[in-house]
Amino acid sequence: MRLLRYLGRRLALAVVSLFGIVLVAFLVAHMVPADPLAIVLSDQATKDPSIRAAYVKRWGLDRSLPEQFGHYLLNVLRGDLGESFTTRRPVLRDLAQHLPATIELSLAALAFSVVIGVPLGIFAAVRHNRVPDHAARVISLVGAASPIFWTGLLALYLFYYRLNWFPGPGRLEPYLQYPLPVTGFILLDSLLAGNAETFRSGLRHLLLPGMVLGWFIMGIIARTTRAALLEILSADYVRTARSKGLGERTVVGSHALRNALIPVVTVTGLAFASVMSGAVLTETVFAWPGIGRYAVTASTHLDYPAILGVTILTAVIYVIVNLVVDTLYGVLDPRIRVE
Amino acid sequence: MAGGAHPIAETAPVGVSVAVLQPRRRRANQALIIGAFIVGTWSVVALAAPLLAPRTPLALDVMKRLEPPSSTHPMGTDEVGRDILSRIFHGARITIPTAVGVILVASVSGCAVGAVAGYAGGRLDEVLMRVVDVVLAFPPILLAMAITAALGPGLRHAMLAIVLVSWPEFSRLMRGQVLSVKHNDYVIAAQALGVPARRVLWAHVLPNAFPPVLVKATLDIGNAIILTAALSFIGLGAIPPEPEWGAMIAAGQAKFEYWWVATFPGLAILSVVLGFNFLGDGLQDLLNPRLRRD
Repeated sequence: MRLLRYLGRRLALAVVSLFGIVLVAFLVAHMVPADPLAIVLSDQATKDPSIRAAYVKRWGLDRSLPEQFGHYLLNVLRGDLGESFTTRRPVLRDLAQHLPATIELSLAALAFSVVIGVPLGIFAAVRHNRVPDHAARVISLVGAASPIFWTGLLALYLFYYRLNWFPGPGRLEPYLQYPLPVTGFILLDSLLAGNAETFRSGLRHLLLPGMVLGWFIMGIIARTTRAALLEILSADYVRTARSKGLGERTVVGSHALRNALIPVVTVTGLAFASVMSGAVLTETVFAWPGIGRYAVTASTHLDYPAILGVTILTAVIYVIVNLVVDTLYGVLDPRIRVE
Repeated sequence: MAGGAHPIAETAPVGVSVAVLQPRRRRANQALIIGAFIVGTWSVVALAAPLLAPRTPLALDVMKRLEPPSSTHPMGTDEVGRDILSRIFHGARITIPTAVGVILVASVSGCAVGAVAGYAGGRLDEVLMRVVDVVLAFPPILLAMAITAALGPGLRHAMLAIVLVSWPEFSRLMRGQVLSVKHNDYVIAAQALGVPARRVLWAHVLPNAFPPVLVKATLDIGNAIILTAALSFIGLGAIPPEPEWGAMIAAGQAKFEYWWVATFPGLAILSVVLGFNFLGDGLQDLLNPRLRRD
């Protein structure tokens, strides 16, 4: 019962957030000093009176500002984010096409950062204030201080141009054809098509950008793991386990780690915003055809519907991811439900 | 009995605290010293750039395009023959004041919102915190991109955009601080004496809340530097030929054989951000007495 109430409150907050997100996008759109139609129409289209009239009606631009917002909200809820000036297609369709590439990259990055970051954090906590701890601290400090677009360029220079260990930018070798987009994920689609060469190429192209983006979040995950484990290692039940004569490996591995991983789950969820921020620039450097590069292209062409579409989409995903994380957290840790 | 127990009770904690305290203290000081040194050096470079830089940042020399690092051009030249070292020195005059100014504005306005929300409580608190939640739901770079694109590219608009994405975390922090101090006896006493809310906030609540805000602001200067550079890298921030570091990295993109064009401005960003992060970390250990005792 308490769990249901907790979830109900979380869900209500999420709905409020979604409303707020659309409102922020609406306000940003109204910052454009030019003709309000310039937010949804390209230059040429704004000159045609009949197109103008149709759009004024569709976006309710002849109404008061609150009414305009109502129109905008309804359109967004219907999935109508306007048309992109650059691709001349509905923004929603563009987003659906570009999103899988971003998810593929983000998952690869998250996997890398968890696989490296969690052990690094454990190692640092177990060897607290000794060399591994300091090394982990330096690694995460440098990771947090390097601009990701620069790390990406450096990685490309070193591992592609100089050493040729990894392929260059893009998702596939230029001579390979994209598999038929069933899911949009190259790794899945190539498997579905039974094409091993495309799968291998897709995987090889995913590694370097995945590691660059992963390196960026790894520091956060390592630091959280370290802090959580350090706190738990000083807890009473860990002392009890030690005084029972259990080995350090058992104490850390099966007693402490299990509880320390709960905050790591939350942070991984919260790191999502960082992953998306990082993905925008990683995609730009690696010519990765995801929503990040789409947004960058859109913003440099002042393609407002497209950039607002990406902005709304990522914020909505963030809210949903955190709703899921909160739910998991509430299920995992009964103490959270009491508020 | 009591006389025998006393010396042990007195010496044991002292012995423990010295052993536990020292490595942490020393490390805090180290971080603070390293951070202050890096930030100080960069500040001097920014102030004295016209004196230190071997050339002016905009002087073209088409005969010396894309020259690798040498004794005359320690960091090489860019695609129109400008000296990269001189541009990096002059870039510090853009990067550091921009980031400090942006975080100053964002922290003051964010803290004001947070202080009001925390102190007033109730419905106002609820509304303000929902606004904070909503802004935090956006990936900062994307919202900043949207705002800069809407206002029109340029460093000034990029700065405004970074302020607009940076304030909410300060509100959250400040609100927490206010809530934790609000129910202390001395605040309740001041309220009971009829001291107006503004005075209570100013004289009793804010001084206690200041240290964590200072730490966060220092760390956020690093983030603001990266965000400004990222916006310029994309082409929304500083407009060429300004020697902004992010824009300089963009100029080195896809020029792998001329690695120095992008590498050195990136190292400049990395070092100055590391400096502010060390400074923030060191300040945190210095100002947070609870952490110090651990």
